[in-house]
Amino acid sequence: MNNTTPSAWLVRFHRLGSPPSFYHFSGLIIPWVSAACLILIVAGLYGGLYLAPTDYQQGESYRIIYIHVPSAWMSMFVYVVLATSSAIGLIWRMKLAEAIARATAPIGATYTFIALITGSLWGKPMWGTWWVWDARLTSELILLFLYLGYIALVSAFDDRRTASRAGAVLALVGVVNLPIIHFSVEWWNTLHQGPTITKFDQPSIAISMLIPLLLTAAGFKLHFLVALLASVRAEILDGERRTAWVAELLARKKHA
Amino acid sequence: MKPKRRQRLVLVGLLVAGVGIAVGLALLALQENINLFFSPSQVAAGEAPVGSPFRLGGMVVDGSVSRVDQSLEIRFDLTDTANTVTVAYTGILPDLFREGQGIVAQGSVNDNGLFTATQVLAKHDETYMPPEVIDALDKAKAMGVQ
Amino acid sequence: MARGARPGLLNYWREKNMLEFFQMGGYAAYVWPAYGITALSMILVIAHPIRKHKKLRKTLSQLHLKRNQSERS
Repeated sequence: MNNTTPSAWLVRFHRLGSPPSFYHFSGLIIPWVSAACLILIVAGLYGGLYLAPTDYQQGESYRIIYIHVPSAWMSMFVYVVLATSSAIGLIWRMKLAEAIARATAPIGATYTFIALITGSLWGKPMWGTWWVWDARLTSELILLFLYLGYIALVSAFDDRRTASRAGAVLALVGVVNLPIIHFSVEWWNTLHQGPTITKFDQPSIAISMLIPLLLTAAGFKLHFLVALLASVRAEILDGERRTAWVAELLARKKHA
Repeated sequence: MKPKRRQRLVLVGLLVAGVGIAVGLALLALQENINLFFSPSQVAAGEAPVGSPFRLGGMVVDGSVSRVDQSLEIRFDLTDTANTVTVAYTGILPDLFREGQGIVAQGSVNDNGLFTATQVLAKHDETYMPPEVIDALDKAKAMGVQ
Repeated sequence: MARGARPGLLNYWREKNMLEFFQMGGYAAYVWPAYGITALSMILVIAHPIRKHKKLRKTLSQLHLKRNQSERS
């Protein structure tokens, strides 16, 4: 059989949506993605913490940017994944989408927590305060509560699928917070500064400082992928424990 | 698409749009309360609360920072280029406090128009550059002026 | 052209010693805890599902083995 025809690839891709294929596929790629993630983060941190020059205003304290900005970006990106997979689960009742939604929430909560903590540790020496109730900080805190609310709501149901549907509604309601976080520094006056890189004109950061930031940001993306795949794998095995393919998997493991 | 699925898709769309509109209207109504600080112009126009504490934001005017004799009190002018308010403050200043820096001060205005601050926070901009580059840019700007 | 007019990748890299690196210009008390908390959280968020998966797989294998034995007897 020729597996390289386009239609064969399409079939393969479509099969990824089924739990057993996803389980096998994720088991195969996790080590590779982890290695790439580690390389990107180590390179980014070496560049950011050691090679990058001192900032003219903030001295060495600005080096928190290399984890603060990637985690803040990821806190929002993961929510987009949560909301999208929730919508797919809600509309098409796709099991894998529901599993992905449930798996993303703790990861997104972690990034949001990191963004808030590192921001606080940065704000104390530079702004002069750990926390201020401005629009950016407050909306990011609301994002953390949305994630935690989702986790609590989903764990309150015994039935996995009912839980996913209830969580999906909450996740979709929370989508409104994403533009608020992003534009908060433009719509209102805040203590938090405006965007450096995601604004439309030229980024106002030296290239030698920007490159390590892009490296750690890419590393964080792959970190999310690893965490998501590992988590969905555990979810799938738990949810499908009574199916034939899991029995086959366990039997094969024993004889191997 | 099956009618049942299309119906669910429409419901999801309505949910997101409905929440968006509701929250958007609420934020529009709360606009003034979400802003962290008032500008010197707003204070001059009488928009800031009188007698009760509020936050004032602006740039520290070059050459305006002075220590009051025999006390730890420091005075400086805050401007938004249109109007200026003088701020008096006793306490620790953030590392970023300097002339020309954006500042947010918490406090209240007395009858003479003097703003007495209980807390001073520094606001920094979104520019990250090595000192050498800023020096070079400043020099280039100075040469352009001549 | 003046040096530094265009900040390239290799400009402004400055040799620094290890002490300077760890002191972070006096901001060590803020920079290093930020990195520590981040590293810990990012490791935990991956280690937790992997441990859960391993444990589950072990439990299921034992169940599977037991079921096979009871079927045979």
